Amino acid sequence: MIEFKNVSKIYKGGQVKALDNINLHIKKEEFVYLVGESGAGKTTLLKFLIREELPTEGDVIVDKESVVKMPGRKIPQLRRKVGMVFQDFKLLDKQTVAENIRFTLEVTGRSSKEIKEIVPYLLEQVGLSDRADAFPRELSTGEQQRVAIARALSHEPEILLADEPTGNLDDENSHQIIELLKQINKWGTTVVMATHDMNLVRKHRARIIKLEGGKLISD
Amino acid sequence: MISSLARVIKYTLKHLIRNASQSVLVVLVLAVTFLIVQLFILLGMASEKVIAYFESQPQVTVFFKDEATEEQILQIRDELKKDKNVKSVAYISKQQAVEIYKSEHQDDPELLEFVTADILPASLEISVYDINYLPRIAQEFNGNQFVEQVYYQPDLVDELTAWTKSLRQAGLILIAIMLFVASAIIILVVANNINIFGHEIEVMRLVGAGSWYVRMPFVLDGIIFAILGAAISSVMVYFAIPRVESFIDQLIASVQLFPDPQAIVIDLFVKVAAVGSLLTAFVSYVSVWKYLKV
Ligand SMILES: Nc1ncnc2c1ncn2[C@@H]1O[C@H](COP(=O)(O)OP(=O)(O)O)[C@@H](O)[C@H]1O
Ligand SMILES: [Mg+2]
Repeated sequence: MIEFKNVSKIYKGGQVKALDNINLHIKKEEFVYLVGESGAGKTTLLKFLIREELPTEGDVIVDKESVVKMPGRKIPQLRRKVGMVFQDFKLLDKQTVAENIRFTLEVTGRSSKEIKEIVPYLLEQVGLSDRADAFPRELSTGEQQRVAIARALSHEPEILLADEPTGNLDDENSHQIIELLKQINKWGTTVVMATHDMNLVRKHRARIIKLEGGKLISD
Repeated sequence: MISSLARVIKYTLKHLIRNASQSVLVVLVLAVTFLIVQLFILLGMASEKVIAYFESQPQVTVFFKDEATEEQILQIRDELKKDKNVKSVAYISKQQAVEIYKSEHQDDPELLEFVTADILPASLEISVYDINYLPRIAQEFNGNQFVEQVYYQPDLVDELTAWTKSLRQAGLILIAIMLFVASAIIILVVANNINIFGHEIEVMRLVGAGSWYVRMPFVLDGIIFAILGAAISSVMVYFAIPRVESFIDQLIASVQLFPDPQAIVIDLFVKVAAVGSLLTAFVSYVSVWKYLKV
């Protein structure tokens, strides 16, 4: 489903290699933790999969297609197939919580009728039913994070990338989110979750890919 | 397709409403800019009429010999009237010439004493639409058997032509500068409005929105801004017209500047709204592009 072939990344102006010769294979319907200290290269690795960044060297394959060689017009389709919970949330600030989720559903071609059913259901799942009409700036960081998660799940992507989705949540909420991700995974979605929280990883076992200073050191 | 069109329209309006203070600001800046453009155009139109009025003032006066009969002169007059370049031809008979002379020299009985209808010649006073045609008219009468003398002021004509030419050039330069400044203002304010949405546009792209879907609402916003701005400025122009007219009337009476203000305002509205929309739509299109690259 996902393949990295000799992938390296040096950011413009950056001296160090954010990623150094990564080779990796993730199968369909797998659940994978991507662990490593802050600055290890986790976010960079995930960004390739929605083509937010391009590798300096090597190739990245998603669903049999090279993301690197992909023409611009196919990028929206890739992003509809790969949902992402961004580390910095990337919510639409001028749209309410419900509208943020609604937008992604509209983009993926759902009818208004479907959207009316899906949005309240998802908000309930992440415990934000009573905040549907709030704007992101009116939410706590943890609440914003949960909106980002709900949005990424909303259109049932084939692949779900979660970049530190529990970074701003307390233990109770963190475990709930992981349970949710595992549930989604059981229903057939490939899940890659980046985290630096080893405690959490130990409690919910799964394949662990470890990055350190841009290098893959264990799998 | 229909539902995505409905969604595009929804976002078009949402941008305007959610960002109301900014939208109002953009519309007002466009309205003021358009108002200035329209006033310049009106002034240009008025000046053109005033210039045309001045240009139609110089005349050729053809004095006829005594042997020319009134009939012959009137026949020449009628020929002249058929000429499209000729604005008017006035026949001054010997009798009328004396009366004019007398009224001009009322205070000078000594001069009046000797003047009888026999002394002063009959004449035709010819005015034209295009001042450049004047010398040609004068030329036509040179060597005519009935003509005593052709009188016109080549110097005055030259001077007036030079004067109106530079006036028109200055007007064009002024309008060009003004259009440049107006375009720059519109580009800045519309592009700035898009920049406010920059992060939003990038995020829309990252969650899989196609470029058309993201871009269209902003392009439509631009068109709505231009139409609203043009509507406001046109209403102001409608009320400004009588003032412009009375201002110019003080300089020169007897020229009807704007015979049909309503038609002029509607015409200006359509043109400014059309050109303005094209510009704002284009600026929006290009400004969004920068953020679509994500
Ligand atoms: N846009 C960027 N420009 C330059 N350097 C960057 C950029 N993004 C990340 N980096 C650098 O790349 C390395 C990996 O960063 P990142 O992938 O964000 O790590 P992680 O998500 O594991 O904390 C870091 O050294 C970081 O400073
Ligand atoms: Mg990171």
